[in-house]
Amino acid sequence: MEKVAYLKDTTGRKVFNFFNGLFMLIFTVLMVFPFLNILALSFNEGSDAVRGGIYLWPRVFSLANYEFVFSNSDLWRGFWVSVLRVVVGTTTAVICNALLGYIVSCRRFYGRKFMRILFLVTMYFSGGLIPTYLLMVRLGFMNTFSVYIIPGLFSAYYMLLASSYIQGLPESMLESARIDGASELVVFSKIVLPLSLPMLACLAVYIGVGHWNSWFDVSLYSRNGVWDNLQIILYRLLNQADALSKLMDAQELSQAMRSIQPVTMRAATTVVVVLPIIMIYPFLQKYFVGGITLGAVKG
Amino acid sequence: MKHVLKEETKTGRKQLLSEKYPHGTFRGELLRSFRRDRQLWILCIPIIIWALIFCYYPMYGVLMSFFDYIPGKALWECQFVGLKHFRSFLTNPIFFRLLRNTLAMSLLQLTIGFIAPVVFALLLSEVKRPSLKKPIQTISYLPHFISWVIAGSMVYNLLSSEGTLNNILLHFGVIDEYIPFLTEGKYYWVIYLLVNIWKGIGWSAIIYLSAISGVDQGLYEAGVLDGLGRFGLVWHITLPSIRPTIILMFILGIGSLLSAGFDYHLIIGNASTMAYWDVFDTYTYRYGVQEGYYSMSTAVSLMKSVIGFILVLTANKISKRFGESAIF
Amino acid sequence: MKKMSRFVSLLLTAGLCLSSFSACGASNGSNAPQGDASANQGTGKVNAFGWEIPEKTLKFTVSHLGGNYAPDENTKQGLKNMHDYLLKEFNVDMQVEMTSGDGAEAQNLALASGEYGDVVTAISYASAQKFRDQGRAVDLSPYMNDIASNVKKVMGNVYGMVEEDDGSFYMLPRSVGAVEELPDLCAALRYDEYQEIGAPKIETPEDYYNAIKQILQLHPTNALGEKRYALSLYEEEYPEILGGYWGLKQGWDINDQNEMTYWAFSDAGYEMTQWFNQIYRDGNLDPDAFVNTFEDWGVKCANERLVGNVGYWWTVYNKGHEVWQKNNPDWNENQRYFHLGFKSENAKQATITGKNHLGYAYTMITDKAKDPEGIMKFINFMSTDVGMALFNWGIPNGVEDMDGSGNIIKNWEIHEDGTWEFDPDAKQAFLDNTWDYSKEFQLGGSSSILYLFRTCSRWDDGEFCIWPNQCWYEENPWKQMMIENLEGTIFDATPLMVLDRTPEFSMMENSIKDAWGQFWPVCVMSASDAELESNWKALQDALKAAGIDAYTQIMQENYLHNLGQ
Repeated sequence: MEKVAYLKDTTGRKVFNFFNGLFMLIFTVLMVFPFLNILALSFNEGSDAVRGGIYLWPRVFSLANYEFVFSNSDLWRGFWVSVLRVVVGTTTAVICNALLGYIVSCRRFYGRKFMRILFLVTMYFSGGLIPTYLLMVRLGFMNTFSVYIIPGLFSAYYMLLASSYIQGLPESMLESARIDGASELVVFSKIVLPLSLPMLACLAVYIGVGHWNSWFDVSLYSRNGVWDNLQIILYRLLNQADALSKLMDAQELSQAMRSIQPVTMRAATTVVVVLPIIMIYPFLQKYFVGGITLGAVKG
Repeated sequence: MKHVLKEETKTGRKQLLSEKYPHGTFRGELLRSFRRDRQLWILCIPIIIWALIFCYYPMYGVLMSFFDYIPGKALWECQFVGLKHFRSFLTNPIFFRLLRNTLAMSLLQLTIGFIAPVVFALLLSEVKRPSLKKPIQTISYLPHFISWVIAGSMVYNLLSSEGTLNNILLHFGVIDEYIPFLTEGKYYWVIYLLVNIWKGIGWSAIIYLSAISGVDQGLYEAGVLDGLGRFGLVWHITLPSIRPTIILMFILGIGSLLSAGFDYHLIIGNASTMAYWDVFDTYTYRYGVQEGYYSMSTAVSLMKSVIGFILVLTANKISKRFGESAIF
Repeated sequence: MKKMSRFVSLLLTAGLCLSSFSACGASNGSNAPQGDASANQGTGKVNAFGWEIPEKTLKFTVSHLGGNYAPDENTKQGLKNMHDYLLKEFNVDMQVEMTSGDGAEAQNLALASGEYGDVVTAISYASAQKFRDQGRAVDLSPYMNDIASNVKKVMGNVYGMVEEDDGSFYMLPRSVGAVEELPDLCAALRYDEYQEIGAPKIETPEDYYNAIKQILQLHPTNALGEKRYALSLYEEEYPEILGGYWGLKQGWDINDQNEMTYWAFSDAGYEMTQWFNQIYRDGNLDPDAFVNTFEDWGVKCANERLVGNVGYWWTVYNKGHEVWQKNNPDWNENQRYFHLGFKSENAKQATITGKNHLGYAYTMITDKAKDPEGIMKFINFMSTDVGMALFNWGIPNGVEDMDGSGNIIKNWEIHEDGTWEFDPDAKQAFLDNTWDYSKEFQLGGSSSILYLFRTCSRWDDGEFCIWPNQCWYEENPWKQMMIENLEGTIFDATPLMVLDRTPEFSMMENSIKDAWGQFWPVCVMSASDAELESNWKALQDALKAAGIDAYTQIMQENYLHNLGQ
């Protein structure tokens, strides 16, 4: 990074750099290994992989898994549902939570504490599965896309993340804008949001990945399968073996086991499901690295 | 000139207001606030309605814990049993084992598991070359995307009696006989901690990395001028700057003291290690949810909620007393 | 305004008259009585299956609440094919809604929200009880001697077990009966290696282990040089399914007076544990036996690391020679496991496989159904031979493969006159083990989703059953061998079933499972006799603490009650 380049490299720093680099190297290997393993499996022939022992390189190379995965029409549908969900869900939730975070960090706002407690309680107390399900049925949210977006607009956790950041912004700047007659929404959108890019990026990663990875609400509310996303397809595939093992009848079990997808297919689906969302982070990272210089804005 | 006039009328109105809505009383303050922060209150209205519908309305569900709820029946048609479910859970001989396991694992998570991502974020921020930093950052959060089912089979391959680790140790003569990592209960908590750190470190570090990148660059320049070294900058500038975030995360973490993993135990735990992994959540799942016995599981989660909430309030108060950031 | 409304009503009347005229025109000389044709009145036209085609489409929705629905493309195509086929040939529009999450959860949510179809199926007994108690189910007893008499006939003895005390009938078991002569569980041994050591006689568990030891001496490692084991286990395998060789019936020691003892308190159970312990102490039991998932076990099996196996018969096919056949061009017929049975000297009889004739899931017609009689008629059709063939083998006369190759997938044929036969090519493919099981799903039968009632017993002809690959044993030497070797090891376990599972009972059962789950592996992995004895004691104490006495009493009462029915 340019800004710290004026730090001179002393021996101590060199040693530190070396060990830090070494640590990062080992760390990276540990983190990336499982993913390479899945990748290798996904390129291996299915019945060969039953024998195990595949680590970083496929033993019998085959593209059949991917051919099969991509021939699945549901998967394509699911992909677009997932993308739509992430785009719509993340934009709305990031803005909503940032707004809520802004409201609860206005020091002079009397309802600040009330709003905080209102949401904090929801972190610890919930009605549980059945009342929530009944609510969604009554709201007519079954088999709709809104069921993914609207119940997830606000969250206490993201509110706190947002407000802890916004509180760190210089109050004087906001105040002077208000004195100039800017409305709260203008202060929020014109001053708070541009200053909070790292926080927004962080929220976007958390919320976006959360939307992409969610399968539980899909399994409950997408009964007719129209709004099935990618993750539910993967979830079913991964848990197929476990689910089948619960079959009681031995004959039926032996029959059902024939329909089970080989481990390579699961690996290929995992790759297909996981790869697109991994891209979201590098894309948002530019808001992380570089940092901000508040001094300039202050002046 | 114009400005000043405006200010004057404003103060004049303020004085009038304070007569109408006297300071210090709750009613007065509230009404004053309605006048003054009209805009904010209007913004709050839809948010409050949202919270009432999606969060507060379903909370009637906690009443299930005082009834013998049968799905399909209205709550008032079910047998009211008072505190039966609470009592039977607290007097269950297994309760202390569940408590022990839950506390042991979540305390490990709250200490070592909590510090790890902070340290990682700080170390990563010391990697100054973006071409290295960005890929490492991305790679570090890869394990978060690997589902527990797959992670479970990797843990098996690594730690089973014939797993990679045992093979390596045997090969180099560190041990003479394989170590049953997965069937001996005494290894369970440590493995739980390590696997969770592996899976979550990059993911949890995102919030700290975002906080670090929010630190005013001017502070570092000033620090260098004051003669601070690299360690000094981290200790005197970075850490204090992200302290509010760390404290916030810690207070929130304390609230989930009574939750210590779920999928992990169902997938990696097995019958022989059950004495070390059975926690509140797995117990209520196996005995409550799976049998359609919602009253019992609701009672346990209500207890967890109350205790978690109290813990957060306490932690918040302590943090406030020491002049640190608080969540409200 | 008034004029307007009068005009509209006039127009409507005219329209109605016109449409009724045109309807008359469409019926075109048929003598069908007009107006009073009720929904379930047939057209008098009977299709090849012997189904009287209703005049008005019999339309109903089915909520399949078994959960865990994870279809592949073939299965989805099969469901669609079957729906279209039923509509075209039967004039029945059966819409099935599947559930993907946890089954029990889906059933409870359906109850709580009142959102379910005209028929619910694949539900547990506990859920079925709730449907019944809450007045959400239709009493089927009026149909049972009438339009659904075949269902009652097929159910046979188990009808009494699910009939209510007052003679009403709500819970239709989804699947009754069993293929009597076909074992589910058995021991297995590598056939080629068994021949290599001279095929010694195996009558007791000790004989079996001795044979394995001889094989292990000859072949201590596999081709990769990895150590081989006598046996391994995986997580779904527990004493209840392993104890039959020592005369335990699903984990119970039952004497002539029908008194039940739990295996952990019986000599047979101790003997079984000693046997496993001996294998462990010899270093011949896979050290991960209690950690393996089925797939982990499968890797070992596929790598030829297991000489024998005790458990389900099909596992050693699925992960054994069916894998080798695909990966090894030099594979020969004898390179496989064969199945055998044996019994401990102290046991009166080996009771390895317990057949349950009542199944585990139920079908109910709900309060939402507008035409329960019509639906019941259709369920009755499902219980006939051709009905079961249709819903379990799939669509007859073949369907075109969805891959666009133009191939026809076919396993049976039905003719206009109602006669039918199994396709000879398909039969040969089953016998040669070349049948493509994944393509078969396109026929809509083998996914076991669409049927609402069936029997697993052999049909009256004594040849066929719902699983084509379980027919024609006499023509498959290996299956033949299995059946001969395990003759007399199969018993009727239906009376051991506990239907009325209260929450208290379920909790008790869970605690007991938890108790032996923790302590039985410790017993098996004891280092010495003395240690085994003390561990065994610990197992018993844990079970006592978990409430084994009360549990035994409930099981005992339930058993006697069921025997009486």
